[in-house]
Amino acid sequence: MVLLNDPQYQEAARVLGEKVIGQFPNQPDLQIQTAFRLITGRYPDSFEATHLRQFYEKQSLWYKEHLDDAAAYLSVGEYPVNQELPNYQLAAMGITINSMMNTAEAFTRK
Amino acid sequence: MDHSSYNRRSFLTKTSLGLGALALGSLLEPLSLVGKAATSLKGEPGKFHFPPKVKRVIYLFQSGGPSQMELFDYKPALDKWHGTEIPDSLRATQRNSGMVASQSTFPLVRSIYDFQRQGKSGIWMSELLPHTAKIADEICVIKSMYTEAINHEPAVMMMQTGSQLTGRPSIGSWLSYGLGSENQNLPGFVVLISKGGGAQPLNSSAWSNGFLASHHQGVQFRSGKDPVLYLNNPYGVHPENRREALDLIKELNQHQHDIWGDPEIQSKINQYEMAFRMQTSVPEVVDLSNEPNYIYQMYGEDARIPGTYAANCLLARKLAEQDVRFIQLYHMGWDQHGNLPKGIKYQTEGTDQATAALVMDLKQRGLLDDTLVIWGGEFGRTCFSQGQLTNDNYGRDHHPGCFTIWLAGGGIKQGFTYGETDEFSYNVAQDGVHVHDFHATLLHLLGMDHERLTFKHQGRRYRLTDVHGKVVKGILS
Repeated sequence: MVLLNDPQYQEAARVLGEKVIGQFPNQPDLQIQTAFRLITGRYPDSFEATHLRQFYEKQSLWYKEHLDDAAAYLSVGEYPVNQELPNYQLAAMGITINSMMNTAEAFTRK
Repeated sequence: MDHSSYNRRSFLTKTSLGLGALALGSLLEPLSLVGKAATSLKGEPGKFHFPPKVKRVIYLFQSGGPSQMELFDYKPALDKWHGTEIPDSLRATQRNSGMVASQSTFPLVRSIYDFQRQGKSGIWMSELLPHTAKIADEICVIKSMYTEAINHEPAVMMMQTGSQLTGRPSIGSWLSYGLGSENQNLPGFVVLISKGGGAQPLNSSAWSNGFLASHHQGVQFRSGKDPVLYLNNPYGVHPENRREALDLIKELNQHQHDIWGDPEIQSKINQYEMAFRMQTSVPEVVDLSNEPNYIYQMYGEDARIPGTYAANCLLARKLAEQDVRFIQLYHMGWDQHGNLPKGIKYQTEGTDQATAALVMDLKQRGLLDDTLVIWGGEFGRTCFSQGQLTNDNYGRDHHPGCFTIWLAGGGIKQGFTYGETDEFSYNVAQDGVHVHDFHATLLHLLGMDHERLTFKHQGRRYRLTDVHGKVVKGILS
């Protein structure tokens, strides 16, 4: 529950999302790959990259239609939201990164 | 395993354990994921070995070592011998802890509390237990429990895992492994610890899965307003989004599992699915505010305060109604090395009513017939005084040689006393029940043969009772 829903982890995911979107605007594949590498220490393979991209696109479309929810999602945490970047992208990337953080590999030391 | 995707470099980088990791995956493919179990073979987990008497267990663990002489083990001989030295020859028959090593005298101490026979069955109980007295005809008191452990942590480990050393699975984990869970929406093993505590901490190894897959571990609910934190989705995340995210996580995890064959990944997948279901199931079950007033009269007003023993007893009943298989309560503070008269009275005042209420409540709902309720601690206390013996004050040290627990519920004789201690409550005199025997009997009531519920680890088959234990037929109805 903590990893999924704790505000601290939400905020971390959100801010990481801002960083990679800011770094590679309009290049979601590169954004996802960078975030993944920062979280797990390796590059995603093609299966993972595809699924993550599909998920991100779906969330992105959804949040574009539900900007209120995007704003609500981004309101968590104290770090100020980067106003230059589109809200719906930030929310979708936040959720995508949060999901990456919740895979067994991300939080298990082998 | 897709061998074609392996080159030498990826083989070496991925498998730091070498060939072991590849073999591990195929050997340990878990047979029992949540709820599903393979058909029973000798030594493999499966469903029942024979028809069970009970479906669920509520273990009211009284941590610290409640003094049997002030509660259940009536010893008129101690009245006679009060104040005299325990004979050295007798004292030497049991371990004494280092805490009494500096004492020069060991006077025997009678219980300051009076005893009476209770119920139609006439079970002896002290005046400290007016509520348990009302359920005397439901319970089976075992006065002849014994163990080897003399300090709290090894003793608690012994009661919970069958070994004084940590690392073994606990009872609840063995049951989860052997029988799966009856309720898919709640964990099959829940741990509730009363607020307030005592001087002796509790180690979470006591509800650990040990070497079994980690989704068999006990799930500890916090003792307070929010038993499970962060159940709610973040703002702006609806259940559908959350479900899609969980599906993604599951896919990524499953992909990892296909590569590594690590059974722990399967556990994680199970746990995330359980977490999702708990988001809806937990808020309902932990909400005690809708109970009718008579329930609070039965359990005591404390039951309105989340995190108290009484509230946990009530929560245990609700979890039992949802078929959670193993519900374990821990209540600390029974470790009366000194100031025993006051200390133990405080303990019973905080627990007696709710304990009895739980049994009565289960009975009223028809649940007692297929539930096993256990009350007891990790060891007993010495018949001689620890520290100075005065007219109205004394203490007792840890004593593994004999202690009392009681059981109630399906398959257990009612209004019955089993086993006897010697006239001082120092050694078992008749029908001793070792912790291993208690475990064997517990598994038996749940429909499992303790010798057949095994798990191969480090080259040999382990079981809860290890290489010991006999079912105590004398307490079975």
